[in-house]
Amino acid sequence: MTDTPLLTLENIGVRYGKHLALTGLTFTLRAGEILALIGESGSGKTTAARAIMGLTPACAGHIRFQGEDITHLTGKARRRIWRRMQMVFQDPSASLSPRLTIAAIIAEPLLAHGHSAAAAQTKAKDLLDLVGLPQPLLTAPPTALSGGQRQRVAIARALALEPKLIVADEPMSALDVSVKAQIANLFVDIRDRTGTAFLIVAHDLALMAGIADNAVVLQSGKLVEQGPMTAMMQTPAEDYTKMLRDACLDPFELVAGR
Amino acid sequence: MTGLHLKNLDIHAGKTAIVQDVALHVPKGQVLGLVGESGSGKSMTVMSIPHLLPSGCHITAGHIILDDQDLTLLTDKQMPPLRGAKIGVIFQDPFTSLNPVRRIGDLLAEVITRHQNLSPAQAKAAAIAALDEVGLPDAAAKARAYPHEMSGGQRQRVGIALALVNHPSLVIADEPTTALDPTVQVHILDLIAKRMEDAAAILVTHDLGAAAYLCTRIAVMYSGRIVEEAPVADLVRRPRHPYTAALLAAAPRLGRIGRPDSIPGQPPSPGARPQGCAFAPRCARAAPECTVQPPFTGTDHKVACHRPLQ
Amino acid sequence: MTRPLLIPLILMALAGLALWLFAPALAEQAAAINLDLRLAAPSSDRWLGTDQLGRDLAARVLAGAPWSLGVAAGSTAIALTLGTLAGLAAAELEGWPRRIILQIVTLVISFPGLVAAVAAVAILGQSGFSVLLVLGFLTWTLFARVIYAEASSVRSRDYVTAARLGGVSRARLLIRHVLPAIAPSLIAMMVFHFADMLVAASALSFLGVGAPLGAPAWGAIISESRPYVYQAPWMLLAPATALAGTVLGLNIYGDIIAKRLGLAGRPS
Repeated sequence: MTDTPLLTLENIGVRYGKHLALTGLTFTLRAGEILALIGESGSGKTTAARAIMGLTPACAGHIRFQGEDITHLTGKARRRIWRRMQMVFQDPSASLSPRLTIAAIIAEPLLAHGHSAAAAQTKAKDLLDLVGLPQPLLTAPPTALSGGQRQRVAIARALALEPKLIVADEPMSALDVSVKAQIANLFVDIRDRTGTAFLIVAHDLALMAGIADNAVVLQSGKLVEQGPMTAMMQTPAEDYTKMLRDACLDPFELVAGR
Repeated sequence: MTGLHLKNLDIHAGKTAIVQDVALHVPKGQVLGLVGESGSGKSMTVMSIPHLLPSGCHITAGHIILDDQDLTLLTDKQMPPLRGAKIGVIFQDPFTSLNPVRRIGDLLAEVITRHQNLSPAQAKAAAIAALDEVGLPDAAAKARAYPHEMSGGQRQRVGIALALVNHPSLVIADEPTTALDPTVQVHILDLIAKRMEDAAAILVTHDLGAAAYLCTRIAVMYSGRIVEEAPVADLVRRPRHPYTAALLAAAPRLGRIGRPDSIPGQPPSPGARPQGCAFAPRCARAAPECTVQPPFTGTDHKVACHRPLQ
Repeated sequence: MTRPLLIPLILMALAGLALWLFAPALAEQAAAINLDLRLAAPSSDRWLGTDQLGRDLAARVLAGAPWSLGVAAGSTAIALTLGTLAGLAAAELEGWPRRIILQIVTLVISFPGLVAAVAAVAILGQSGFSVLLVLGFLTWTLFARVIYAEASSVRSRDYVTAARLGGVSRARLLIRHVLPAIAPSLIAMMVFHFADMLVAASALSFLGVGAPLGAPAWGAIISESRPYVYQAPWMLLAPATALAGTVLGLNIYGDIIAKRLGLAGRPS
């Protein structure tokens, strides 16, 4: 079981009208792995995330999840997959329904899958604990929470159905510096405690360096380099990866010369 | 006294204090980094200088002195001529700060003629020269282009050209690279350094790395106040305020092994600040005396903390 | 919506009820011909004066209200229901069902409204009910377009996508997430549409369409006042003020609601 990768992309292509957003994307992700999908604007990283989730159709290639070909699934079959594959979005102020309480937001997927209201409530409480939020927030609306707190709620909701994989689309981009670090650590914590794998889309190589096991670098819709995270940071093979790494302005490195 | 001086600056939004007791000095030719997270008041502080505060916010105390002129004494009517001539602002979003229905060259020429006595033909030539100086290839063609025809990095170069074309004495750069790709960031910071000439400059950012790259001194803001101010190397190697240390620990590091450090909690909202030091609730070094607002002391390396790190 | 905002709605509903209850009595008084008092100026007895047949204008205007307001309300109800259903369907369904709905919308919009209305009523028979039907079926497209745009926008928001990923059914998505989000626009549009339908109904009755001869619909009263405008200007003033006042009041109310509900202005 542990030998079959959790997720496999083979030669994935995605087209928006005439424009090819992704070509020939191939990589694998194993159970319990944290994989960083790095790229700048126009790299196709968000497109890749949406294609994996089935929100954008792939025009070429295959996506396999737990050995099953999910590339062209729709409707009921796709919903079945979504029980095991969930998503966290970039903008914490847009990903939580402004009219619901936190408890209702987290419980929604549970209720949709037939859990009783009481069971859903209990699970919501547990999930709130897991993401490090205090219980009183259950009755609050999203507007009463900070960006970092909302993102934690989004993660709690994604964990509700106990998925094997969570795809996070730039989950830290809209957050403050100190909060980015909190959320980054939260991903690792959750992986360690529940075994959930994470595919994290990001543009900041250095931020992912502390938490990802492996990385895939995209540029203009194509895969540039992939491999273990530490190797990619210390000895990047490709020029573009070097550029991305050097773009990180490390205050300590910068003052070392002064 | 040349350059920029902020003295005991207070800014209120209605009855709530957004910025309190800010004192800064930026000499000519130097860049000060104003670092803080959202809600720290850093944008408000710099936007109060050219009277660009959002409606409902006012300077309620203190002075802003630029080239020996106190800007707080000026009315809103007196500001516009000064804004273009003496203060250049580079905004965060290069897309929304450029008028989408005007050609780039026309935008520049308009700003030029407002403050310099040039004929239309001369202004047009000056506009093309300015675009060339910010590193845009084929400047004459770019002058005829519209904002949406350019990339984010190119638009920000135009934004820099617009802000600096009249050789202002003060340059305010409000998160100029936040909306851009990482690989473009360094080039934009380099451009600002190159083109600012002997103006005083403030770089507002949440990124300590960007501040360390461009600035000579850094001031750290938390919940409306400056908590530490020092030369860059000093601040990074020997931070004295626990919040500065926390920011440094959370910053992405090239040589990092293992996870970033993070402090729990978040900054208080302006209406709900605790008594005394606003950072105390999250501070590992908090003590009973921290319920009194610490004074901002020091000579070259200043800090507002009862129990600083060194 | 907060309580103070609802007061005008409640008042309007009460006024409508009162008019309906007193309609027969009003109609009698409005039809009472009194040739001695023809073209009498407003006085303490007859507040708004009398017309060429000595009928009390105040009574006529009040008696004409049910027709005008009733047609406006009915046609708004039809337009709102049809338009919302069509807009939601177009937003929800992909492919050819959406294309068909949008094509129908374009087609109906391009109908010459007034001409079509006159022709349709001529076919269906001169009554308030026909006018109501025709106006409703001619104007639902205004709702459809706005609802389609807004529902599409809401459906693409991350929190709706998240709910879909969580397994929430299409129906529940519509009810729990889409409808509450489009409700403010719907309510504001409803008020503005009512005002527009009032004008349209009055325009038709002015042309003699839809209101039975002699019936005091506001447009009809205005039409009757034309030969006497110099002798008895109050004959025009009474119904015109009633119409203009109601329409203006509704538009102001609509603006207030729109602002309160966070909209930038009139949704259409």
